[in-house]
Amino acid sequence: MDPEVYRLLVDTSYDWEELLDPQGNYIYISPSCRRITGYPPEEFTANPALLLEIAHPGDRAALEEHYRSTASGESGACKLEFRILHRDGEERWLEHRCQPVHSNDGSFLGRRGSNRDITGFKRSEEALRQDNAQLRCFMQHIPGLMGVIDRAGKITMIEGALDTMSFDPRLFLGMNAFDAWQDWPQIVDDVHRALQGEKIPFSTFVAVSGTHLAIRYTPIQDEHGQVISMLAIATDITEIKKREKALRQKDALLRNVIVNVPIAIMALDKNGVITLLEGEGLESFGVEAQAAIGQSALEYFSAYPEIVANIRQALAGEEVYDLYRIGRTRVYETRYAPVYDEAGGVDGAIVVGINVTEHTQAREQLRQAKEQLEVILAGITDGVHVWNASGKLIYANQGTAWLKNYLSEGTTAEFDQITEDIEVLDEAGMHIPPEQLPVALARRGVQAQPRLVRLRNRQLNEERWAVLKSNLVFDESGAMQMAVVITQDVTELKNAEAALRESEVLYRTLVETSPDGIILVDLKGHILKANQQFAELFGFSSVEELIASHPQGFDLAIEEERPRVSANIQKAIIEGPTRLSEYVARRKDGSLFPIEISGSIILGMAGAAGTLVGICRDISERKRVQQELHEASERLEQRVRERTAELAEANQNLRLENIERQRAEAESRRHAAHMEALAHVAARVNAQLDLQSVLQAICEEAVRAIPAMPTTIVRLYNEQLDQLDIAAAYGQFSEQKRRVAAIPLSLHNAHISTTNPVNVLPDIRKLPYLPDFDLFIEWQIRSVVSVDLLHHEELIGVLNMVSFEQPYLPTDDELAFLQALAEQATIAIANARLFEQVSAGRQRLQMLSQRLVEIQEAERRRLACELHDEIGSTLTSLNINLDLARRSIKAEQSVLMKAQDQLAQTQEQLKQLMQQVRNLSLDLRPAQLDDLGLLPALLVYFERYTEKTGIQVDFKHSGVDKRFAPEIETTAFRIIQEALTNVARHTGVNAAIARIWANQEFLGLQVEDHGDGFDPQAALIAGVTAGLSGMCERVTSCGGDIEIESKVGQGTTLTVVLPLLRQALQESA
Amino acid sequence: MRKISIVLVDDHAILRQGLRALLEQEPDMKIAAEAGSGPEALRLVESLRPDVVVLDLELPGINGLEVARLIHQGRSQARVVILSMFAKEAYVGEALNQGACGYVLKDSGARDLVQAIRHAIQGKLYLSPPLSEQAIEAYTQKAMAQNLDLYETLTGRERQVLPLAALGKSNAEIGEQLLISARTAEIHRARVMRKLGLKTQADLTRFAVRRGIIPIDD
Repeated sequence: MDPEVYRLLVDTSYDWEELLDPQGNYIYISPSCRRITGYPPEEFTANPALLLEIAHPGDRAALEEHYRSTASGESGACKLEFRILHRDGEERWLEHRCQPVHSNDGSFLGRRGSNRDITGFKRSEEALRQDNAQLRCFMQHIPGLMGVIDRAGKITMIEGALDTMSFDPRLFLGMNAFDAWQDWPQIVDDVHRALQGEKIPFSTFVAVSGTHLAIRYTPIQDEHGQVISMLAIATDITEIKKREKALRQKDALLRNVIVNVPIAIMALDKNGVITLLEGEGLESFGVEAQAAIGQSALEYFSAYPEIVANIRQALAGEEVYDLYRIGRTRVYETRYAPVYDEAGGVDGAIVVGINVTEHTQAREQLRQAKEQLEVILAGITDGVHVWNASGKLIYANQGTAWLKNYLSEGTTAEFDQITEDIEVLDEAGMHIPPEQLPVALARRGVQAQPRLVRLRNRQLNEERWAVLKSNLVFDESGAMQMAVVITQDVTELKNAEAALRESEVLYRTLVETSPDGIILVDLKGHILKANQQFAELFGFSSVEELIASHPQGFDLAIEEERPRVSANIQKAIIEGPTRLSEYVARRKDGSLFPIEISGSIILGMAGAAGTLVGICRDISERKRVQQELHEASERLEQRVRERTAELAEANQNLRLENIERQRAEAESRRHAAHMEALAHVAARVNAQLDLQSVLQAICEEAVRAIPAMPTTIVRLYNEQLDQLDIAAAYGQFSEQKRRVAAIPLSLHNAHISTTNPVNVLPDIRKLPYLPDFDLFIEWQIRSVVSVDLLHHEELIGVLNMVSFEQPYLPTDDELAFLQALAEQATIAIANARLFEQVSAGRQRLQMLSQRLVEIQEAERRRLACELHDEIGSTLTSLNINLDLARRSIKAEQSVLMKAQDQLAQTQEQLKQLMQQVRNLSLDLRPAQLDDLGLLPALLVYFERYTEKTGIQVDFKHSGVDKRFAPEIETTAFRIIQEALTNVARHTGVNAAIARIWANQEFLGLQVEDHGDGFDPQAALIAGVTAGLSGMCERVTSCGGDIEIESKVGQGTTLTVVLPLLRQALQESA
Repeated sequence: MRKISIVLVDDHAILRQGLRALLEQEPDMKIAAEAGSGPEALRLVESLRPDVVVLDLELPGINGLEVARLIHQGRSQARVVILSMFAKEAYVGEALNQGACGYVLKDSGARDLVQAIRHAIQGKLYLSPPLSEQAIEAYTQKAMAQNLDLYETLTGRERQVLPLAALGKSNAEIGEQLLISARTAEIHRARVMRKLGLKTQADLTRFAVRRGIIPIDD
């Protein structure tokens, strides 16, 4: 073969092939060395020690040793595993094999070596070794066994130990499992099944020793799924089983307890899920124990918010105690307790409910019984005190509260101390030593007899009678346990006894000394007792004598009276009350006399009538007096009757007089009312000056006067048309007024008597038909009253009143009143007409004067304009022409000079003329007033005024730097002008003050001078100055106010205030 | 050489004629047009764009001051020279306010107008003698001064009534004190209130206190 082929072979070898000479230098090194070490062959060739350098320090010695041993060529093929550090920094395992190479003649040529990278293999090996070691270690240290059995059943591995095992399980190693464990068919069967490929996760085995084993069988398969062996792991579960059993027993015990005692228990895990629910009474919650387990308690009991709240608290780690009532009687004492895990966190909760219904009921009964007893004890008036064996008061009621400081409730003092305040005396008032008292005796165990004593409170110095009784209570051993001492207050009883004795004496005395006879009989009438007076009443000397002759008391009455006596007694027995009866009785001497008996029944035992008491009185004398009285009364009656008749007659006369007087009074009242109404009318009608108001008032008053005629019309005479026009209407006509035509006077006169001012048409329908009344009939007018309104005998109008549908005839009074009203109305109408004329005249006058002012102003304005514009302009033009002429003249110097002079003179004259024209125009009406307003016009005016008159005007203003309505500006300007003109004309001063001011509402003007002054009243009345009255005229027409304050010698101040608002209002309207 | 173009505005033809003759004597001036009324003047100014408008104050239609204002506010650059009979500062001040830059009196010499036009072209103000800027300033001061103290306007009687009324006395009380009738006292009180522009009793009291007419209550 071509040596190149060999070379190719080794060059491409995966392993690192090398050939070294006997000195250890590389003869050949295959390129794989680079893959394995990271260094190229050249580096190894250059540095034969490179391998040693990159070898792992731990393996370096071995490698050096290898080099040494192989250097001679003596050693044959050898193998070495060592680690190097690859150039990339990683550790690699190399397997080095080498053998010496000898030539044919046997000389040592060197060594041929091959290096293989076995890092992967080494790592797997290491991992496996570790796993195995861990497994063994694990198995040795857990209480369990692990075994591997191959397909043939040979036990290939068995490890571990069980505490209870008396032998080393490794004894079984290498044995056939089926033979070794033939006594335990269960295991044999399981092993068999596992080797068939079945996985048995849990199988139990109980050893003879009682050890419980849980065994898991796992088949082990190769990559083809072939079972090659199986693994069995057995763990000791003996302890678990024991605990389980104990738990079951405990559980059963708990259930038993729960079921047999009135208790309900519930366990919750930390999420509130019910893990246990048992016990009595659950059904009353509607709880079914089995169904509830596994549910969330919070949801399960959501109908009971208090339970849910308690559970939440318990789960939050808080113990809760709660009383829970079901229905009216059942009571559960519930306790919610958190359960903690080892870490101290809440791991759940236990809820225990104990039915304490009976307990609660018993307690309640006891409480009630005690309460009742206390009520009883508190209610009884006797004092009840209970002492214990050592002499301490353990109970006291309020029964002895009557005795201050004596054994009331809460007293803890011993009896000995108490007796310091309370002295105990016997009936006779002798002191009883404390040791003899029932209390003291009881303490010695001696039962004392009840004893009547007197208790004296030393402090209050009060004494009460009381009976002391004691009762001893002994325990089983016969020792005294407590003593109950009852103190009964018998003071009232004692007092009653004394009172009884006293009243007995009293009554006896009464009976014996009574002026009346008193008798006691039984129901059959036998006399039981009588007083001396009774005997004397009947003429006997003594009671004994009377009883001897008349043992039957009723017999004292005469025979005829006896049935009545017994009937009255029966009645008294049944009806009860005392009765007064009169009978006729017989005396011892046989004479009869009237007797009055007041009887009453003394009730015996059980309310049965027992004894009759009679108080008897001889009423002969009274009877006689009565008879006399009766007769006297009869006489009096008679006289009274006579007198009454007289009085009745007088009365009748009086009544007639009275009626007469009332009538007169009514008449006078009516008259007064009439007068009053008339006065009212006069006042009302004359209060108005406006004709329409007057007429309306007349109509209203007329209807007030005759309400039965509710419609009134006033017609006024129209002279021009000779007819009566409708002027006012009231009532129904006010709407129809327009349809009522004017009536010609002739028609009026045709139907109305001209001689009588008041005319009545009582009923239109009863008049013969006239076309004139058509309208009346159409409007259903029935009655008409017509009153002429005559002023100075002249008809000025008619007042008509009408009734509709029903006819109405006014009374004389009404007509008289109406006529009076008409007279008043006439005057009022005449007045109103007069006033109307006057005010119309005044208005016209004012209008005219205003118009006059306006026309005057307009005329002045026109003139001023004319002067200024037309004439002024012409003059200006002339002036210009002259100017031009002066410039254009070309002539000889001397002629020129002359002409120039003349022209200049002409021009000067022309200028003067222009100035005069301008002043004239300004005087007439300043153009500034229209062009620039009040303030500039006044400023110009004052200047000119001062120039002309030499009077300085001190002008002061405020708020007038604006335009006002033209009338206001004109008026204001003219007033100032007039006032200053007056100053110049009349005062002789050289200064005046002018003030103008304005606000939103007013424009004020004031001109003041310190001249001679005058009397303004007099001046106005005398009409001295046309200027002053002209001013007044102007101000009034603007609705302003003028005030002149002047006194002779004190100067004058003229003030005018012109309203601006009215102007504005009028403009806006 | 460009001549100064002028529009003459006056409602009197005779005057315009005179003015035209006067101005046309100047070699650098020419009359572009004449107008007899305010509206006509405005129209011409708008269409001819003259350099100067000689304007009378008294014009039919729109008065001269208003025309001056409209020209001044309009697009035209025309300068306005007022030619007026009124030598009053009131007018001059007002005309200057409306944008006029010259004020010539009609009765002053022809030279005045020519000079005023020349001034106007150069943007300078010209006033015919005897008018002067100082006089106009003085006038304006006078017109603007709000120098009236309303208290001055009260008469002696009113000055007597004022403190009593301000102290809250009734008309009857005032009348008794001043020996006049209650009715008269009422009229005086009303006049005081009106003159001083006061509305309520409180206003009156406040005024009196502020002016020291009555003492301030402690």
